[in-house]
Amino acid sequence: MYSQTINRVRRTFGAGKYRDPINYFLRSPTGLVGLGILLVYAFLAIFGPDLAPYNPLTLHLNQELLPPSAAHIMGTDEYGRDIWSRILYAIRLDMFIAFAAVSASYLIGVSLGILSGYLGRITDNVIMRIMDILLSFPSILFAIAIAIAIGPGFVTIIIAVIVVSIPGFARIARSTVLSTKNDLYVTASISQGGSKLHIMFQHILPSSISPTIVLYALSLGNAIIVAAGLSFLGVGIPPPTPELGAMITEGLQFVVSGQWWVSIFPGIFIVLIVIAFNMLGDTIREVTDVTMRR
Amino acid sequence: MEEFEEKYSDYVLYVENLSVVYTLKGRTVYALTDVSFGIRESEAIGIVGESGCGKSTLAMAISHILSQNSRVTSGKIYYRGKVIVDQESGASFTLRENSKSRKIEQKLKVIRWNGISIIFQGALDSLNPLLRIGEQISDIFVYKAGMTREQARERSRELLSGVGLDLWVMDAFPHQLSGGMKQRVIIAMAIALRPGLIIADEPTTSLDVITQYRIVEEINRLRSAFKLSIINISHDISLVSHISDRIMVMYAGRVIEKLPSNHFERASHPYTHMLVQSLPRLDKEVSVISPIRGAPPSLTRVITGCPFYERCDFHQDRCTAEGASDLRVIGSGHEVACVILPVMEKMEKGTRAAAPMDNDFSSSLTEVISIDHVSKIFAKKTGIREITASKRSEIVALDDVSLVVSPGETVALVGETGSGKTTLSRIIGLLEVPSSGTVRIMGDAVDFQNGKQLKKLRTAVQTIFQDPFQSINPRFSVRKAISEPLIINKLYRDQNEFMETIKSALTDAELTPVEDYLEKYPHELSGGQRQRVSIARAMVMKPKILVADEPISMLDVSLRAGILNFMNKIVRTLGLTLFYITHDIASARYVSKKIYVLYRGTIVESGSTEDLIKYSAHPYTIALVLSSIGLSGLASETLGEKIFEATEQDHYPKCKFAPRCPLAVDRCFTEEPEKLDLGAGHYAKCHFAGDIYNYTRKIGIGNGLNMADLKIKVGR
Repeated sequence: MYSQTINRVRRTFGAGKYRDPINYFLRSPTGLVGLGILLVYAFLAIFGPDLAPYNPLTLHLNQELLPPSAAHIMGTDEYGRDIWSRILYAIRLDMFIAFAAVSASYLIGVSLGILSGYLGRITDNVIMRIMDILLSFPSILFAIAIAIAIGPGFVTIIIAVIVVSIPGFARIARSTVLSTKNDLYVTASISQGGSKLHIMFQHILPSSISPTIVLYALSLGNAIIVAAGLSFLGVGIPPPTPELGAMITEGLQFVVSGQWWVSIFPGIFIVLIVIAFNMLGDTIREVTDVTMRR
Repeated sequence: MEEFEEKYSDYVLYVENLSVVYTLKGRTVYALTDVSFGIRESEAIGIVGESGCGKSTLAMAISHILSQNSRVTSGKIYYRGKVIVDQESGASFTLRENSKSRKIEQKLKVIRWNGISIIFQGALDSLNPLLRIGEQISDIFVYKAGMTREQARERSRELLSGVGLDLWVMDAFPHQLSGGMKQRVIIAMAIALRPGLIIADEPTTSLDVITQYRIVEEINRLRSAFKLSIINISHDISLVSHISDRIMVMYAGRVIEKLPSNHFERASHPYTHMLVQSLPRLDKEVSVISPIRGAPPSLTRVITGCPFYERCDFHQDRCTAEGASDLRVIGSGHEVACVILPVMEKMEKGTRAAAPMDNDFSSSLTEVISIDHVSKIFAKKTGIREITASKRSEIVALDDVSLVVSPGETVALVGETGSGKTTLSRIIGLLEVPSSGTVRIMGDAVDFQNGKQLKKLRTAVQTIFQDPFQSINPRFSVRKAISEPLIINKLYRDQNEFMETIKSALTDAELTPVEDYLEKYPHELSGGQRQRVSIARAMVMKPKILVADEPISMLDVSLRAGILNFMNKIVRTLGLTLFYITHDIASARYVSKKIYVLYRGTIVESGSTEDLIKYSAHPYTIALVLSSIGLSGLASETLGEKIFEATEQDHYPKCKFAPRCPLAVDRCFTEEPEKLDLGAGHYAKCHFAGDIYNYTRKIGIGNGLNMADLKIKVGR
């Protein structure tokens, strides 16, 4: 079973004789560092509630704005809540938003892209023009519009991220389909009597997985930025729920007066996770795209 | 390389015991082993061998452009008696950074273009598409000879007329020229600074048969005019023998035979002999062509003894001894690296065992393929210009084509690039919808909108594609690839039968033992094996018609014979109808009973194979046949200069061949020629077909026929 899975990975990501994707990945420092950071985040997200020393929501009005110390390693905020505990909960929330939203948009986007590329003509035009409309709005602006329409909250962020990520997946999937569609082995399959469905599932879908998975990893980072950005602007997760972007906003007024820790620590966590997703995505791209490899 | 060492100064180039290794993923590849040869003033030598034998490495070593992971391990190369390549200089860019290598680069600068110039394989792409031809050529004079722009243009003009091109070419962009013209521009650039030596790496590979000989002739003419020395590198031994004084055969990075070019019929090394035998030829009676079994040895280990040992039918124990691959002189100018020197005459005597016989097809059908007035028109991409233009531009790929194929017949369609032969094969293979006309397959008129009927007919027609590297999904194992048509058409009852069908298909395709291949992926197979897999995949559907679109053109020379023989075998044993598409009339003759010649979407001549080749009645067919036989005289004299002016046009005159035809008169441009019946199923579409046919019947093609005589005989 294990070796079968490994073989499947090898085939999905490396179709030439010069590439052993797993081997290549294991020798790439960028990929390993990115993966390492993400594993740490995953650990924190899963075991956050057990690791958190304090309740993230309980107010301690006599302990407000304490600098980092042994008791509060990242200090406390203006209501005396432990920032480290809040960050642990926030990571959990943000990662969930990112994975849920990007996975949903992956499924929708890739399906639309494959349909569009494979069926062509009117279907293609309609789908791609809708994608163009979605793309023509700046993503944050679009999310704000959604937030205004249905009110701020968890669902708003997820919908916003899904909507802004779909066009990317659709475009990449469509372009892969367009190039695969004219490959000789597809023609061969047609000449054997292969139906559209057969060709779609046997030839086209497998070949569009590896390019879109790269975008998947990169989009996770982007999703976190959008989620945090929306909350930062006040149209995302409402207080008091801990969310990295919202936490930065809360601490903003204190940065000038010297209580830097309130904003800086959530900020560092956002930066790290986005960098990690990008490193991972870039490495996957190098693994799957033989022309980029040295 | 402190001081130049004077040696071999009577040679333009002398390669002495050259060995080159590559380092690839930590493994050493012995690309060249102990290669020695010399080339004198205005001499031409040909280097022949299949891919991977080290021909290109040798060319790159001589011109100092080896890649970074390669190293010269021994030997020297002398240019006019001076060392240009040795172990230290390394023959690559690797050392460029230090001062010593900069000194080497300085010396090379003098030698490149001025001393040695190289025409690369795929040279057609080496012109810059954004610059006019004149500018590209002038650049050489400006930067290398320090001329002013005006002087350079003047010289460029001289140069272009020197290679027989009109002056308008100066201001043309590369895309406006035909392949042959581009190749001539490249040649002009190579000789611009009068180098002592030109290396031509497969100079004619991507050109059409007729044009090939024009280029060959041009190279020959320039050689005598400018006293050039030329190294011709090619896989085509008969073509090379036309332009070279001596031939050098390479195998596994070694020179295994050197012989005068007019002697290649008497090649003594078993490999050379088999190479000559493995190609179908036109100038002889059809005999069995035999593939060379096996594959070249891996070059990652040092081979002692004869590198051909494993594939050789005559091998003995002493072949593996040290020094068995040293060259020995066996005649004047003839050296061979074989200790056995077997007598190989008997190989030639086999008479066409592979003769394509018409199969007895016990069926009520009289025609399995019937193409009736079929045309295919592609609309050009519509942009602003096309919309505003008064007429929409179209490309006529097929123009009113009709043909009929009876059951069990083997038919070949011959034509050059752009003749529409692939379009026709796709229509017959039910992959393209014709713009007009009817297609009947197995007696049924094909309705291209009716999916059910298409699916049913597709089981009867199977296509083998040109490119075996793309026709199999790289993510599919051999087992999965072959099982695909079975699954699509549910051609099995149970799992047992399913596996049995796959296994027997592989066995038939001579991919045995079957278990070794089932789980292999395409990238683990050679080109020939892949082509066998795609034939096996077509055969599991038990088709009645096999459409083969240039199945051998992408394969290595030594593999071609194997695929042709295999196709012949299955066609004969299963009673299939074969529709074979090719640009190579010699291979068409080998597999088919009947030939159709296609020119720009029109069938210009058709007839039974032997009749059509021996007594062609259309000027185009004559040119094709003459070029394939190998011209004895000058191409421009034998065929007439006009025939090489093949450029794409938007509008063709009534007879599409008229602009290139040496016999054309005004009538040809205004009046469409009728399809003329010459008897015995031989038809030709030419106003003069009758006269030409009478003349060719009298003297036969290949007996010194040329267009000038023909012109007189036809009464023009």
